[in-house]
Amino acid sequence: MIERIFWIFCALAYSLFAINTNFEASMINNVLIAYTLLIYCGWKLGSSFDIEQHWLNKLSNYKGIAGVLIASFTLAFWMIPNWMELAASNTQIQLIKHFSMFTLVGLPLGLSWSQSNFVIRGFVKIELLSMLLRLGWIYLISPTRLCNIYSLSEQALLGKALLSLAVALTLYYLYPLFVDQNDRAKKLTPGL
Amino acid sequence: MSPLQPLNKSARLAILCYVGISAIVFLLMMIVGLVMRASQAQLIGVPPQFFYQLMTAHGGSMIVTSGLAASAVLWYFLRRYTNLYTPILWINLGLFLTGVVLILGSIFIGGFAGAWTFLFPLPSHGLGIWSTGAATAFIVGLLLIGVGFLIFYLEVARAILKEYGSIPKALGWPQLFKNSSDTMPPATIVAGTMVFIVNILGILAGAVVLVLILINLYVPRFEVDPLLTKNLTYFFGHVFINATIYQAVIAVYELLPQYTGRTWKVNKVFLAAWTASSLMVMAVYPHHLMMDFAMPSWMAISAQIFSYANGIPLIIVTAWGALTIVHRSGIKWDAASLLLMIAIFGWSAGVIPAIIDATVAVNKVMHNTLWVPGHFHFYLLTGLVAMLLGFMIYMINGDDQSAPINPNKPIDVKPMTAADTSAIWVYTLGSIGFSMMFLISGTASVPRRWAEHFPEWIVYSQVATVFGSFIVLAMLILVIKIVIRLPKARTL
Repeated sequence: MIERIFWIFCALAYSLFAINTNFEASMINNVLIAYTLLIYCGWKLGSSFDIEQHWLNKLSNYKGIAGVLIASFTLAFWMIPNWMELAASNTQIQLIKHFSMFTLVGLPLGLSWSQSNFVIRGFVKIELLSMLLRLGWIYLISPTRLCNIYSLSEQALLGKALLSLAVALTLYYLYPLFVDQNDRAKKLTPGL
Repeated sequence: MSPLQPLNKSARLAILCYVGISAIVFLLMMIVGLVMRASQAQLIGVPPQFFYQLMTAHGGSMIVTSGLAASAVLWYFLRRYTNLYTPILWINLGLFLTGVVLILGSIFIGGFAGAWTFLFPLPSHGLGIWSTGAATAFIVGLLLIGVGFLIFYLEVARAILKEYGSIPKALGWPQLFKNSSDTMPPATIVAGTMVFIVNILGILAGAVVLVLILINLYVPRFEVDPLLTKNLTYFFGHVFINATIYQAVIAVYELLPQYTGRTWKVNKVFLAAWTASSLMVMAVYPHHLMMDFAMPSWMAISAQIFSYANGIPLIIVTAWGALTIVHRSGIKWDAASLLLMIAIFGWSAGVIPAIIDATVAVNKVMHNTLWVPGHFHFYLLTGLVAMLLGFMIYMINGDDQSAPINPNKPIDVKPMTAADTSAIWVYTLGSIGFSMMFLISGTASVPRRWAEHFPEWIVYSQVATVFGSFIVLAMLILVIKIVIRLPKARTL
């Protein structure tokens, strides 16, 4: 219970901090730090629940697919430049963004990830990599500012950061496949 | 070889659907190809706009259908060594069919005619011939097919990694580099590992580029770099079509031992060839971009070197292995084994014009000629499709399946009928002749992707049409046989 309160507290503390400062005025802070932090807190909260055998989970979140989909669509929504811009200029929208990053991205991922298997995780990882590459490319090449409040140079910098992150994550995901891990191999159960 | 377990009903039905659909689409698209050549030969009249629609349908359908048929080969043999999850086969098929419907709709209803390569910025420049919606349907169709194959190859990866623990073990690196005395991984595992590595990376590149083209269709101010887009498109497409051969060749590794009563020995040379090709197959695609003057020189040079080096090791180990396993084995030929041996020839011979085209000095003058369709038609028609037909005929010639497969005793074979023999040799003659006419046209500087030809070029197309008719006739006989006998196909 204390752990759960801790992660909720962390998310709240960040949200208060971000609202009262100009932290999210930087595009890199917004996308790479704020999103990651809120998702991580939600993830840790979600993974602290053991709901795999709960009837509601069995009914609605088979192999964690529903949770992963909710998280994917929510994250994709908040990557749309217009919504990013609105969140950066309107405190209420900013709060909704923080809340949804925590509860609709991090939390469902935390609840679902342990239930998912190799194929689902692999699919999510590939989609994450391709999304980072697409966004990075778009931010890098866009001749105009996608969000009026962020400068063009910062946008390009974020593009490079996302592309670098994609490369780093690719290596991170590939490494375990080249290392023999019998324990991991046992977890590779068949099924979607 | 591990004792064979019967295919479960669902897996068998799915594999038979893959086989049946592939056989029928191959035939239909060969007819489309024949219509295009007959049109270039001025034997029939096809409006240019419709010609390019046919070309788009032919190229796109042949590539994805080859992928479908080849994945059936991979799955069928891989399940002898691993525990595969059958519903994945159906998910892949469902996404494949949905994607194909979208693609065909985009072409024949929406008028999309931007070729299977959908090179940026062509999809958004329909010039009134096709709409943004038609281009969207084409791109989304390809995306859906890509998603299906991604799920398929992730399942292949899972199954192999569960049995072998890691990619190096599945590729036999401990035996290759550390002189490990562990048993060599079976050829199917080695090939399957290579295929899932390169195809997952290829599909990742395709997923990036397809979505960016899609965004550009609706937000034109996002102008992606055309050359980078072309690189990613070719990385995706070239790897995918190459990998179909690497899946189909599993049929050679698995079936020739059954016909000869000998084992296909995996040795260090075999492992080294597959490991080398796993890396090099991803680096050869720039031989299709040598005419893009803005490409860095080092990429063109490395593409030439890798193109020379990539195909040869695998072909040597496969052709050598096939010849030695058959030599003095007393093999009783049937339609399947004969097609597999013809396929080895087709693959080996087809690589020669490919290597010639990958030579920078030649490419500069030959790449936009019919030499290019010549090289890939050679190893796809005489190599890949022959392998796939061999597998399909093996599947339907299943009356002897009650006899367990004994690695030291050849399986009983069905003698070839006159129709089989004729169809196979007519197909072989037709496919070699048809490909050679492309190559000869290329040397005469006949350009590719032209709906209408100058009078001086028509004779090449006319001869090609005759050979194309042979292929269609032979395919008709083989496909009718395959489809009719599908319900009685193997259960093992």
